[in-house]
Amino acid sequence: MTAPSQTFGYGRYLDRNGRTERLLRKAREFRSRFIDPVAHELDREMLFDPHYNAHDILVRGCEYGLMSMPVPSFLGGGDASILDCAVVLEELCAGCAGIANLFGAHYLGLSCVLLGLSFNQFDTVIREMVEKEKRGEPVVFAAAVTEPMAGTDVEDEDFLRTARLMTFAEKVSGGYLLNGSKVFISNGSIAKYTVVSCAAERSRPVQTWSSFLVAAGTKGFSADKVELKMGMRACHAAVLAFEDCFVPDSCEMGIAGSSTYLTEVVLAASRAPVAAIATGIARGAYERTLDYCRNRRCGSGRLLDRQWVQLALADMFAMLQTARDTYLHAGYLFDTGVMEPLMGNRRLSDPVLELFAPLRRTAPALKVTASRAFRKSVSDFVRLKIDDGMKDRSLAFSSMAKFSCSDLAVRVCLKALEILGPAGAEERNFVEKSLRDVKLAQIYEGTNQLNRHVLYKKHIKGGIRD
Amino acid sequence: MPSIPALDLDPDAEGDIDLSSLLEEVGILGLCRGGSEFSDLPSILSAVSRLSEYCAGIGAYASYRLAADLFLKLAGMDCPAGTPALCIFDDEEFDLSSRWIPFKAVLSENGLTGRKKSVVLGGYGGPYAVLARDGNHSVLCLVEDDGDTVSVEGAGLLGARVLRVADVAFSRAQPSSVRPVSRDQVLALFSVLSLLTGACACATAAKSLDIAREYARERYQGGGLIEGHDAIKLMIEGNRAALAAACAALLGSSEPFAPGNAESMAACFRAKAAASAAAVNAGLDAIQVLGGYGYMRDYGVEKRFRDAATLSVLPLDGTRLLLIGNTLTD
Repeated sequence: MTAPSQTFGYGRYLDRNGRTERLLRKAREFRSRFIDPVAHELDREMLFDPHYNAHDILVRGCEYGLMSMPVPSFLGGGDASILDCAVVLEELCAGCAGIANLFGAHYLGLSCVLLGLSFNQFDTVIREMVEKEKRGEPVVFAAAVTEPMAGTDVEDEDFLRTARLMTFAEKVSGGYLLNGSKVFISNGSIAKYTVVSCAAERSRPVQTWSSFLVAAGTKGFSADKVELKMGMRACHAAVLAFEDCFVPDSCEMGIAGSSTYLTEVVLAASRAPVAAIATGIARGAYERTLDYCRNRRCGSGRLLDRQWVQLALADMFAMLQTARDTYLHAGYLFDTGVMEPLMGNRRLSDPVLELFAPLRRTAPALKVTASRAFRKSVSDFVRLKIDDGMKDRSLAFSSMAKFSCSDLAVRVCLKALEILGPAGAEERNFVEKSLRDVKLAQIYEGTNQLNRHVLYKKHIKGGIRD
Repeated sequence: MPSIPALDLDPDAEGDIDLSSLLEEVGILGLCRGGSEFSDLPSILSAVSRLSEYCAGIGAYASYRLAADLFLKLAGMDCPAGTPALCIFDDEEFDLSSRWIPFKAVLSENGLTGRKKSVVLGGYGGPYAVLARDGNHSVLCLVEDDGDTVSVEGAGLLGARVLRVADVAFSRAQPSSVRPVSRDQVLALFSVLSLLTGACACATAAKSLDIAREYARERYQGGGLIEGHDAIKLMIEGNRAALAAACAALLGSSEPFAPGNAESMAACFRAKAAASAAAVNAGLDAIQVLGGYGYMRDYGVEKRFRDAATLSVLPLDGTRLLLIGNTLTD
């Protein structure tokens, strides 16, 4: 197999203190030890048993710190930036996108907690996840947004106003009652904690859009149905059902109505990694195609010696490098434009947050951080620290990365299929898996059509002078 | 076609459905018997298209059988045991564009020896019609599966899984019949297969667009039904336009089709290349219209995409066919 470092460059985006490279080395080792050897077998296994749980791989992920990678160091995590996560996910996806998506979907759930600065969850569930990871017990997160009749609509504030919602949170004494269902939820059936976003009032979905942390096993919450998917089979897509599911006030994240803002921040963060997922799948197809061409005899030479093959490989390489540059730029923009202002001076804030961690974990302190007043002040703080223009720009560029990288990735995989010819459609050559996997990257995290709309709305439109 | 289920089989599982009998019932396999010739290609094309609207795997299955029957007729070979599985590709790049003889399996006085790749078994297994070299000649050998000199190793497929692709190894197998074959005869086989698989791919892709259109009429999003969104309209109509052009090219190449005529065969390859691209793009966009639902098995469009993508590279991908066609007409 061609070494990725010899194949593509990461350019100026690599972290100067070497953190990204360290994480990348880990990811490569993890891929070669635990993903490449089982990817094909696991994909086949889950074709016939979609409920099969790839728990062992998550346990291995704990050894490599993959579960807590994006968690800040003051909470005991790996302190990875969005750009770091994207680079790692690209590497894992080159091995198997289904397995990589176990971690990717987990990061999405985590990011809802982390980016909303939900302090009461920092000191409870995030801490639990970090501690258990050290013992090799994966605590998986998921995010649930899509509804049966509203997919794209719930990812955009304007569309949300007219969305046909089916899931609602009704305010009751001491908390909320959730009713309805969420669909296509990655990790939904294996997550211990799921961040569920829904409206409280049908007539005012934007103003009442809220997020709740729901633990597996909560009465009235089930995630029994797992979908039969075309690709990324190793990662379950589940249907979540809520029937009078009581969620206490302390599990509300932010305050009612703040969640559309938080959703935009989370999407600005998550779409660059999704773009990296697409890039990684395509890179896996490229690497295997290159290997095939190198080993495939063609007359007195190799398939690689044919001019049309060389040109096709050059096309694939160019598309991959373009895709990588695009998602790296989007990740960099989020890290520097949104994350850094939000977190402030880490040299000062981290020691303080660490120092007060034991105090925060006391029952009275947890009661304070879970209170509505505290959550409102944190929500206001987040809005104050993040510049709206920068948030919109970051969202626009991450959306651009998402649709352009996934479109390029599909083209790369189709090119791979073409180069291998009839052999490309055979399972043993892996390219067909890449093609099945990569299609999802054009759909989830907002369809590519929605992402184009976001780029226009959040960036292009503002630059047009009538 | 109510009696034939849309199949998406586990390639390793033993099929419990007798496709041959079912296809006999609807009369499609009879098309090549009773003196049908290459001149009947347009009606054959139409028949496999109709089948593929239902299930492209079944359409492709019928296509391979029909093409094998025509090829045997062209080579002057009789196969009393039924339609054989065509063994074309060796464990090496297939190159019809620049040289002849392209086959690596060898027929000698000890019998037939070699490993054939990507053999479409089609559920009917042996006998095998094997393209091989005999000294300086290309030959077609008919080999029965005696369970001793022939070994079969299945390989799963992306789609059109009813075809059941496998590697078939022959070790000193004794052919029951041997006929010389010319380059033109082999190219004629590729031409026919290209037309038929192209038609199957386009038919299933067109059907997936119909499903997408139906879905768009019911799915509400962005304040209205999504059929009203320009993005959806363009995805559906753009792909319909490409598929219509590809189907016209396929039909145009089939009527009249002249085996051995370079321009006629090159036209088939061009049509298949266009059909492959159109079918794959249409399949991808049909899934896109359905969004998450399109990616799940329930709506059937993901299967249609997988079928179309598989048939886009069977018997060969568009690039290789274009290169062969260009050499032919040079």
